[in-house]
Amino acid sequence: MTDAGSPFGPAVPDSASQAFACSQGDLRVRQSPQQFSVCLITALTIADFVDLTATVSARQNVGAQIGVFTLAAVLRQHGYAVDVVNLDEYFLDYLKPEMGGPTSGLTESETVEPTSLLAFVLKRLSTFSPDVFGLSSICSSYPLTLRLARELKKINPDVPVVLGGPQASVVDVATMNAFLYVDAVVRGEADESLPIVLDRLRRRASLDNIAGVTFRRGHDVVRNPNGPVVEDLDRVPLPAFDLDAKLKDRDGIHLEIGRGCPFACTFCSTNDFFRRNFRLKSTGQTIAEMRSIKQQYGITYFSMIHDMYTVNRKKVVEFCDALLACGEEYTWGCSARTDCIDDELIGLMAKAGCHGIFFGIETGSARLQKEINKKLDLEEAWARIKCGDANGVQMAVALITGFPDETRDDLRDTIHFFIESLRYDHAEPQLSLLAPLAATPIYENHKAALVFDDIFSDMSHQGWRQDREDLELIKLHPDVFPNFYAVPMKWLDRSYVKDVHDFITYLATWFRWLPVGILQDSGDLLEVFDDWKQWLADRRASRPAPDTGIAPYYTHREFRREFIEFVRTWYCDHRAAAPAAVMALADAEGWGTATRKAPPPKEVEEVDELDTGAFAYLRKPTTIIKVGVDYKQLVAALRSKRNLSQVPIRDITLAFRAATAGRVDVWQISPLSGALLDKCDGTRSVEQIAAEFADAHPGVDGIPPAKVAMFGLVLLQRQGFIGLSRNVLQQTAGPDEASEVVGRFVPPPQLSANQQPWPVPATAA
Amino acid sequence: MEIQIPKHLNLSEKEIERLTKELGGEVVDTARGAQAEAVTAVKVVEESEVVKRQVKAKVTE
Repeated sequence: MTDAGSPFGPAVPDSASQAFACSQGDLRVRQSPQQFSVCLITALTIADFVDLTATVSARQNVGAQIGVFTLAAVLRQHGYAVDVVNLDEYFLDYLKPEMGGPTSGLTESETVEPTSLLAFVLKRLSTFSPDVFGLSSICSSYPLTLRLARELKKINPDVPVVLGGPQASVVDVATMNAFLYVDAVVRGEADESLPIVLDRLRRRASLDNIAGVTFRRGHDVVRNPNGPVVEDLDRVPLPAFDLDAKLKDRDGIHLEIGRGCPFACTFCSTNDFFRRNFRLKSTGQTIAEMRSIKQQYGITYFSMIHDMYTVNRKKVVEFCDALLACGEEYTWGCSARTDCIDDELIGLMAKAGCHGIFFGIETGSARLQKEINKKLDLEEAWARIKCGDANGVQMAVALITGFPDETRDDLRDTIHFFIESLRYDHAEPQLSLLAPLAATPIYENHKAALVFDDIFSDMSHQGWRQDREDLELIKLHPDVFPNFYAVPMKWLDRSYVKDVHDFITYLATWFRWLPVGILQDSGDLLEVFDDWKQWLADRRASRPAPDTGIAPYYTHREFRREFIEFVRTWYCDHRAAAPAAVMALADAEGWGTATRKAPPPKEVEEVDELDTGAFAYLRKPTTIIKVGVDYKQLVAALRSKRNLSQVPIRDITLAFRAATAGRVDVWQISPLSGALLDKCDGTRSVEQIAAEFADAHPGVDGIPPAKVAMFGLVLLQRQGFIGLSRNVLQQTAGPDEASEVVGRFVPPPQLSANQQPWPVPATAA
Repeated sequence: MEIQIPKHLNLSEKEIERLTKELGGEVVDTARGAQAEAVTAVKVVEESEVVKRQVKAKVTE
């Protein structure tokens, strides 16, 4: 047993004779852990996308970092009183006008000085008076963490400030040399070391000889050797979820299923933290934890935390079999490599409730796969994605661009992989700009050449712009914040790569089949990007750039509008091999017609049977669009990469109709049905619609047009498109309102600044 | 889908078959992303919010 009573391992000798050097104040020696309180503060992981709605929707609602809550449980086992401050929740509160955040008061006057996030957090933290502050860290919000540490130290000079988590662990010495208010860093897995640190702090003893700890001795920074990792994860307690104030609102919950990825990719920082030591909790323990959480909190969706879960196939099979045998319904997501999973295993996982898998593909270039030491067989990767899709498993297809040796061909391969994945219903691609994460081989090999070029990796962003105070820190301390810097690219201009990254990311955000179609039609999306840039430059010569406000151009609907115009007026005329097909995609995804909203149910006096005096209205939000090719065959051709020129040309009406749980079905209906739907706006009676239809259309094979219309309305009613009401309803949404239907801008597909397994599905909650 | 055709329309089996072919429809795809959101208006961003945050940016710059 350690001197702190740790259940995890042997004691580390205590050099109690040397007083803890960091705190200069008159700290009392606490007699017992119960008299010693700890405030653990999570790292901020939410990125700010300008708008509260967009920011909230761009985050996972599965709770704060699992590590902090686990440590809280460990410390409780040792008798400490622990508070957890979830900075993400503070940030979301800060964004709410009524909470005194940046938008408060601005509706009345633009001159109100907004509260900074830091001031907001400090005001809330003023109610805490712990004996130690423990701050977790990730790279993207590390400047904020350090500014918070500085302010906490200013306010509470006698209270030790201890850092931990992924970023502080790898830049410990640089941090402590640069920021004197940091008293110690607990590196790597802190389950064993943090209780010992607290015990020493409680007794005002030195932190000498505590494995995995970096601390001050006078003016020196002392780095103790690494500690062992926790071999038996079953002994780690269930996280202190009861400290998560928002637990009842969660859609699901993070659950640690193991630690350590055995691979050694050159860009990845987790190797240092978990030391490539692959471990899993036992199946029995994991299921017991899932069951316990379900019983205590009613949560049945689990975002399984492990950098690379499927390394040990036998264990995954055992877990899935046990889940199936227990007869309880759980859904879950995890991370995997495409070469550490097979079709049979994917099928079993899906059957056992696996809803989503995070696949780090990293690059679509076979050459770079070797260069970055990922070494995936890309054909094999496609086979796994295809299998996951067939099993209904949501897949994040994560890619990176910006590698130092990346060529134009490599970049093309990667963006093609990204867009190709859109052919699969359950694949959601993500493209990140490389960040040189501290302690990675890429960082070590290029640290002398890092540049600060104001092009930030989305691994390091805090939204669409960096905080000014953070930037000052970042510029002063490249060795503490290397992820905000860039590795120079040998063959490509980084601003060009950044532009391609934004273009591709938002092509897939605003559209789906259009980019797939253009890739298939052109064979070279990078050339199309160059064409687009030239078209845009020519356009800007005569028209000013649209005002997108604070939102970057590609995130804004102006990009969507201009890109559609580029496709219609330039691409289809100058480059397209199958212009009719591409034009149909632009029409289908260009939202030429406004969505008509459904009337509130309470306003409807429903009529079941076709009554000529009843008023026909659209039951659900519906967008009606006309295209010039057979859309069903077009989509089939895109899914199977068949020749787009062979898709039959004919007039088709599409109806995009809201189905269930956020799902929108695309119906292919005849132009006659489309004409009828157009008239079902709640203000026309069945009789009026039939008369207007008869005025504009001939009959069908001798059947009078009015009868055709009546039959068509019955059909639309049975298909759930329209309802009939005794009273007149208002369903206004003409073309003039089209611009209001589409959001002004959208957040990127990456859901937070830190990589996580597939997030909770809306339907799983 | 079985469709109950009102009797007053006086349509023969053959005519119903013909009209079903002429007026029928089917689900051919599922929209996703921003396109689906545009229909369901999930992420419509309110202008007032944007303005407020822009003001914030100006104040803090």
